[in-house]
Amino acid sequence: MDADTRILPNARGERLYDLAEVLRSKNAGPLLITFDVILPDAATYRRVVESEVLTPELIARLYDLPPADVQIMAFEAANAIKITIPRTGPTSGAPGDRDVYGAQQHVPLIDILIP
Amino acid sequence: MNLDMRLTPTSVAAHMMYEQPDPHHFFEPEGMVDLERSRIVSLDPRRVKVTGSRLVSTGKPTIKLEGVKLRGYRTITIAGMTDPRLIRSVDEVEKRVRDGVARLVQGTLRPEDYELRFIYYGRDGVRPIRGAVAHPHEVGIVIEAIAATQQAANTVLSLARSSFLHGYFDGRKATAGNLAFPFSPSDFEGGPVYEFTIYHVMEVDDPDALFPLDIREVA
Repeated sequence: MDADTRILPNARGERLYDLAEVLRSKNAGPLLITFDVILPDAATYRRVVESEVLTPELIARLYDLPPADVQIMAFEAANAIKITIPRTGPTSGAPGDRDVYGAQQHVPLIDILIP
Repeated sequence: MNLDMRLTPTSVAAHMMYEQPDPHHFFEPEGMVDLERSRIVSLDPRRVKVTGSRLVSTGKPTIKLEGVKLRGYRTITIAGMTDPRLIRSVDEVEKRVRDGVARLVQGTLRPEDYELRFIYYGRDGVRPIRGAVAHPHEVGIVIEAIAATQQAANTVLSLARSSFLHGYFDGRKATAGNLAFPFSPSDFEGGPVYEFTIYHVMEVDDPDALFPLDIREVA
């Protein structure tokens, strides 16, 4: 049983990784990591938004953060959802950082299931 | 223009959101770019029209300030491990190496005078993992030393590298060496290492005044 099955018990649906056209993470400055979920069309975008699966509580559990630190913003014009979290470890490029550009931090999101 | 390239609503959206914490607002020296009422419309398979974006003045112009401080000097080594018992025992080996290095530099360097890190690619090098640690076929290791001088970082790294190479762990069979080095020499000086200390937006009267131009004719 992998980590995400434990976090999302009994969840059904399609993986965010398979639904999204773009699913990526990147620095937004040296203190924040931002995730872009760009869906291929308005219908898929509405399906993800209306599922109410993407919540600060879920992201907080996946990234070991307090929910208050998670910002989730719908960007309807782009059929996209943006999620922004603080870096909890070293700032970008500081000793101990493992991902200077924050480009490989999206993986905990890929197995989120959207009904 | 490259006729194989296409601008699509998704590629435009991706660029509008790129490296920004908020998809609707971002700040430039002249004010805030407001994308709340933007519309992205496909004109044909290669073209997109964006309307509704606005620049909102926020009073004084602003300049972003970024600053760093010198944390020390870095030396690293890169190696691989395949022995299955070693891969299960890297935490034990690492602990012995840390203790051994601290003992060897005693009298020269205090524990707070250097940093020693071990990154295990193939295990949890990029992201920490929850629950049980998987034991892959190979694990790549990066050992990193940071100290106040390059010389001190070189010394700490060489002690850590040789201690890891010959480090004992319970059930060890391959007693000739724990690490497969892809390079000789094995150690690489990384030079000075910095970390962010300033990341601020500063209000200014005249943004150009901070960036004086000096133009000289040379021919």
